[in-house]
Amino acid sequence: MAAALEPLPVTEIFGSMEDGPGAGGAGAAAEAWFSSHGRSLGHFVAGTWLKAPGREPLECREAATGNAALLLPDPQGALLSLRVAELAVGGASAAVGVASRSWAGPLPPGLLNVVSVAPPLGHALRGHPEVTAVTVLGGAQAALWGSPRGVPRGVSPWGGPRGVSPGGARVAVLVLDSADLDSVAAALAGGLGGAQLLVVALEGALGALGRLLRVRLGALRLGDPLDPKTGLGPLPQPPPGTPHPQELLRAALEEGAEVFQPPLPGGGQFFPPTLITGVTPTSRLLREPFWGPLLPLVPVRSPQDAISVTLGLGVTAASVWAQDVPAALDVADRLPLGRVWINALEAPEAPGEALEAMREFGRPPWDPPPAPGTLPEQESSPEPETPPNDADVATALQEARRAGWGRVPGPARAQVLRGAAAALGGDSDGDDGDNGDNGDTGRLQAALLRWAARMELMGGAVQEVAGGRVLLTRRPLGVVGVAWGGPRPLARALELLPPALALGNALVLLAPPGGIGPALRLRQALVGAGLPQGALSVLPGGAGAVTTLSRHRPDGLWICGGGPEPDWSSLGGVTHVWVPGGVLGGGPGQDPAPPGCDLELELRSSRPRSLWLPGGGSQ
Amino acid sequence: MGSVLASWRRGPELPAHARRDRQGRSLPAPPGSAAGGGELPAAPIMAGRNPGTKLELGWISKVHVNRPAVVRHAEQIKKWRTVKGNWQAAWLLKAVTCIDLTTLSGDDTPSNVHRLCFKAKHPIREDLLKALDMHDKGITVAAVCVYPARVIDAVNALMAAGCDIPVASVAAGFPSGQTPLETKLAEIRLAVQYGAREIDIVISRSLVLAGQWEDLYEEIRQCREACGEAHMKTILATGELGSLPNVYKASMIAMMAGSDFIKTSTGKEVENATFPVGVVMMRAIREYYWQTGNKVGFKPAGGIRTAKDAITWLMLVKDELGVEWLKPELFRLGASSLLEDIEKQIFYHVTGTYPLLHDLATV
Repeated sequence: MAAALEPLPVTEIFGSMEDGPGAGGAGAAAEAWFSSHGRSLGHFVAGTWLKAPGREPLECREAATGNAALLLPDPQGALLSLRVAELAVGGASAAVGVASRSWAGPLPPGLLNVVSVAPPLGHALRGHPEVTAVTVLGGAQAALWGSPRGVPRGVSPWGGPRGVSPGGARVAVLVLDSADLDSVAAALAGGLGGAQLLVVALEGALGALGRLLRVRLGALRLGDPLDPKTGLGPLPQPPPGTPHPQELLRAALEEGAEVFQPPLPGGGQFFPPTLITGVTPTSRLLREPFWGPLLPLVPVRSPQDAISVTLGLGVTAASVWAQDVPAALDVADRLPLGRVWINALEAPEAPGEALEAMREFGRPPWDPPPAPGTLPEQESSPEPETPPNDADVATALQEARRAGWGRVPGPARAQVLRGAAAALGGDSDGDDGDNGDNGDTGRLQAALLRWAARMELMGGAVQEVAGGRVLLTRRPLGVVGVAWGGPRPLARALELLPPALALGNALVLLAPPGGIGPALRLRQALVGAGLPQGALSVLPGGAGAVTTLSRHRPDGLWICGGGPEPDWSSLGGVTHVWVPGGVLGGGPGQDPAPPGCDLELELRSSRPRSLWLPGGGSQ
Repeated sequence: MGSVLASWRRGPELPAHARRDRQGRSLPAPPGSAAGGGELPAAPIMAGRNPGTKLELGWISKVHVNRPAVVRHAEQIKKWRTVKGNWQAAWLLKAVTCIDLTTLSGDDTPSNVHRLCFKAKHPIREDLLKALDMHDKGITVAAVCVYPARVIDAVNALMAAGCDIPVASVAAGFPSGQTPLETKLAEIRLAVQYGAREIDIVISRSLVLAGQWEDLYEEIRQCREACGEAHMKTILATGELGSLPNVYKASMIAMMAGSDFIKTSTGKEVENATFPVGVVMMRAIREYYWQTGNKVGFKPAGGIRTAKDAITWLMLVKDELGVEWLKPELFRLGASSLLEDIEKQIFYHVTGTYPLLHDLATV
């Protein structure tokens, strides 16, 4: 490694003009830090260091590493660090994700330690032998140990620590005709060490981009990943089940791809940066996550083609490059991803972004966790109706995807909800007094009107960050399946539908036994007010409704009605699963809208989306 | 003599009656001539000239430059690519060999030009070079840059010092370029006649701002012819070109017209050499090289005062163009006070302390 080199004589360096090692060493700073803190880890909360009693490592079944976790947040994510600390010390019990609901209280002390230090010390700690791993929080999907959605990742899997890279994510880089290709190539070479990058380029730009990339990749510096000047570090052990990059390359070559690897000094643990062109759409590189500094280039004919190809790559973020800003924004708008950069690949996280992601973990205050060992009261249920028809569910989901409800502007959606509320009000005019049905209809109307008003005012937030600004908005999940997993009636839980529809989701509802009538009435009112066909489908549910829906992999799955814990292993194909508790799940309750529940519903019905727009120079 | 530079080219020998300047002073006879007293030691030949190409407007018709991305890239190089210890010393010495030591002041006189030339030959104290084992590597600056009226003084001073560092002269209506073309050409010819072996010309920015690329090409082409055997550096005055795409296009036009170097600024603009501008110009140089096979040099000038800046420029060149550009034939730093800071850093590297005022010879 470069750090171990003896200094060369000036005469030799004058001739070769090599860069030399980076400044500083890793060991001394880390030792000093540990010594000053008594070599024990604890909680750092609100300026106070709370030492854990003793320093025994704690078993954490859900945490992949099984050891005490040390979080070093990026300085720009300071707000995130406070939230993590809150959750760890005294907040919600599900700080480690939906899957680990067995803890009813705060996390055990010493398990999750939040330390706010300057980045150089953070990097130095990474090299200390007693620190087994470090997680950098960031991105639209924060990954904590124990989270069901993320895998632990180091500072960077196989590259240098420079910048705030996508860090382990799978990112599509879309290059349009009017892109500054030099800057694209520089950004790709700089980001190669931190994420899986897949380049989707218009044919007109492909040749020049390939040539520039060959030059940049050939100039990458291999070395110690802790050295800021390193472009590419050694390849660490891949996660189990991940193929070695050589295996993927061999497969790509057999399919006719062309591979360029610069003649960099390597061997041992180093894998050279590799440019792959002529990749077939069915190539494993494009279908599976890969490990290593591979850079596939996929040609497309038009921006529409680029979007279609990108959607099939399983990426979590995208970077769109074009000097034609309207074209770039148009492409960005049509990518249903949580994070999109325009003319950038490395960008600091906006203060609101991680907060949005962090809120996806945790329980609302009106829905306390059940005491361990108890189950909710089972109510008697009528005979189940016919189980849901697989073909009907598949058709409903397809129509929901085609309905395009999410692309209708917010005010137009609000108008539909208002119309439905008016139609429902007309329907209930003839009902007697104060019976349950009228009460339910009244509450449903109120929900429709409330969410219509919310949609008329809803916008996003603009965060100023170094080098530009980030537009933070919320986007619908897509197609949400709503099923009943328990005996509670549908009526109260129908109030879940207005927020989901208002935020642009299409719904496929498998109504519980005896509940299809009210659902169909609601649908009729909405369609009459202008809801597109397919945006809300109501089908008879029954035994196995949850399993049937999950098999068709909607974008979200809500399991209402109370009932026992679902079989989580059978829900693996669905990304957003929510089991609404308390009154929202159909439980008893007087209030139509418990305080704070609207925000909860908004967060459950949508995902954060950040659009990063560069502007000016960084300060 | 061992200078790492090149370029004493034998100019045409003028008849005796013509070897006088406008003040009637005798012009120096070209070295190596009979009047000049014999042969000089052979100096290394400078890199091949850029012959230029015919005007290719297609090369500049689809230029896309993303300013924030370029700025970010330059910031990253500046932040992450640093050198320490022996590496820093070596890189600073390389920077010294690439400096065009410049004085372009209204109050320049033969005496300060004379001191500048002495400094050009001895940019770093001999004992410091000895400590680094670099005393016998011919560490001198790349050139001395003065106004046309001071060329003779510089040539005489360098001849008296017995070194073959070339004299570069600004010309063509420096610094504004707002003079008629005929005047510009006459000034160039005069500077060459006085003994300048490198000419830094200034373009008409109005042609760039108006998009008159053919006229710009023609202007530079004529200046190139007026330079004769002298190397031509074309100053783009990037701070006055309005946008990075304009910088790129002007760079390409200047190279097509036969510039041996493209230079960022006169040093007299409000905004002189900046790293993003340098990145764009270097990308143009690379593209021109890929199109034609001809290497053109790059010279940032104006506002380069610290050793750290010098190293950042070298790093940018290495990143964009490669190590082969890190030599005086293809890279220059236009600077006047930079040398002082470099010498301070080298003094610190060798002795462990910073120098006092009297420790270093100032110009």
